[in-house]
Amino acid sequence: MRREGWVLMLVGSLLTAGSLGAGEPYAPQVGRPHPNFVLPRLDNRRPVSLSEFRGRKVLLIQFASW
Amino acid sequence: MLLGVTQEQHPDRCRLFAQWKGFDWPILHDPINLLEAAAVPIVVAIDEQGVVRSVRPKPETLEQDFLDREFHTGGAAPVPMRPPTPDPEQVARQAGAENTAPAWRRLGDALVLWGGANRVNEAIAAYEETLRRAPGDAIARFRLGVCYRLRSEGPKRHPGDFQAAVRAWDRAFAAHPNQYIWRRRIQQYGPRLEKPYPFYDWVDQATAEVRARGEKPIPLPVPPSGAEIAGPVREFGPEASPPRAPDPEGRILRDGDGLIRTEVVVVPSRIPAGQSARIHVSFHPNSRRMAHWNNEAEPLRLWIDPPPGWEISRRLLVAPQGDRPETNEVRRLEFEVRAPATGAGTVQFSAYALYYACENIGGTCRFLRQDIPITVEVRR
Repeated sequence: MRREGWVLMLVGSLLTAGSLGAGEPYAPQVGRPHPNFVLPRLDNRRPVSLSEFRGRKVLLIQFASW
Repeated sequence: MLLGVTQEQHPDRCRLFAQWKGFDWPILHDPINLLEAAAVPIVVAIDEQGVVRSVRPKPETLEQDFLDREFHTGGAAPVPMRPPTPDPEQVARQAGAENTAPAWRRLGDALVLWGGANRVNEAIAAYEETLRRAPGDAIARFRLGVCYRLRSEGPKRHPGDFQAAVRAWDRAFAAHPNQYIWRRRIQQYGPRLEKPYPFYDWVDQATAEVRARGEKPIPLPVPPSGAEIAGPVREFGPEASPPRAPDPEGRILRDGDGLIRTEVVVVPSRIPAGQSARIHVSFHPNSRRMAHWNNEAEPLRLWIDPPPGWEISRRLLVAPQGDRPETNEVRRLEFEVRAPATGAGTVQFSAYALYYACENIGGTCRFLRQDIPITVEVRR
């Protein structure tokens, strides 16, 4: 895991950039496995699943450019 | 490592954003909100075994709470191995065999995520099959809207696609008013009075700064415009000068040959009394008649007469001219209206456009008028 300062800054900026709505159905539970998923990469449309990263710590960041 | 998921409709815009910001980690595209997040941003810290260790971790304690910490899985179940990428053909066979709403929705998901714009008609059909069996499936309805919008921007576009997208998003959001991802999709094209932020006003700055670094900016097939880059406002500003109706007596010859086809989209599709809507009017030269704009004459103008009691952002709009003497691009004009504080029902706006349009290459150009019916539904 790279621990450059910008990672922490990024996490901080994303967390303060907006607010969550109440009652969201996406509700990952601490201590429980994160549900797996497969989605296409933005750049080459290659399918990528969360489980590909088993063995590494992951910061999963859901965001939008707006 | 960082793993991004973006909930945007347009992947290329997020690619440009990532290029601008120098994000070098993988970013996945979830245009249909497969993960069902209700809002972004959201950060989740996941350990080596795939177990969630923190939701919205605090940046100031991220290192000690997550990065430097060793986790023991205890009794937590291991993350399943990588599931296979959905094969649309296989999912289609399952949908046909099961013939249930969930099976048809899975097919729509597979088609739009893995088939893209080429299979958008099939994705629309799959979501419509879903909704025939489960009309209350708001998730399928939102995704249907995503497909309509996707089709509206491509070569397979049908007239009415954009409005169909907005209607689908409106209905989905009405069923789940805390779903901010769905709400943002409407606001992206909606009135400035209801917007939280401009959405894509950063694109020009990003493009310039990427270019200044000596890089080639990610191209945008559908550059954001109009509502997508307009900032929020609290009130309609006054018009620069009191406009005068350009053809008050209706003397200009009507476009009876249909040289220019118009399309009107109201966002949101229905509004409560006292609320506002953004009206998108697009002008499409008739390709069968080789119609095009004459850019050496007066520009396209749109005049709107609001009904009594309605506010309007501007009554006279003028479209920019093309960069050559004759062009045939689609032209778009947008304005906003606000309904009176009371009352409900279907309201008709009187509007017309004036333009110089030509037929065939080097053919006759005429100054024409087109009356454009605009209907806004006000709900109680």
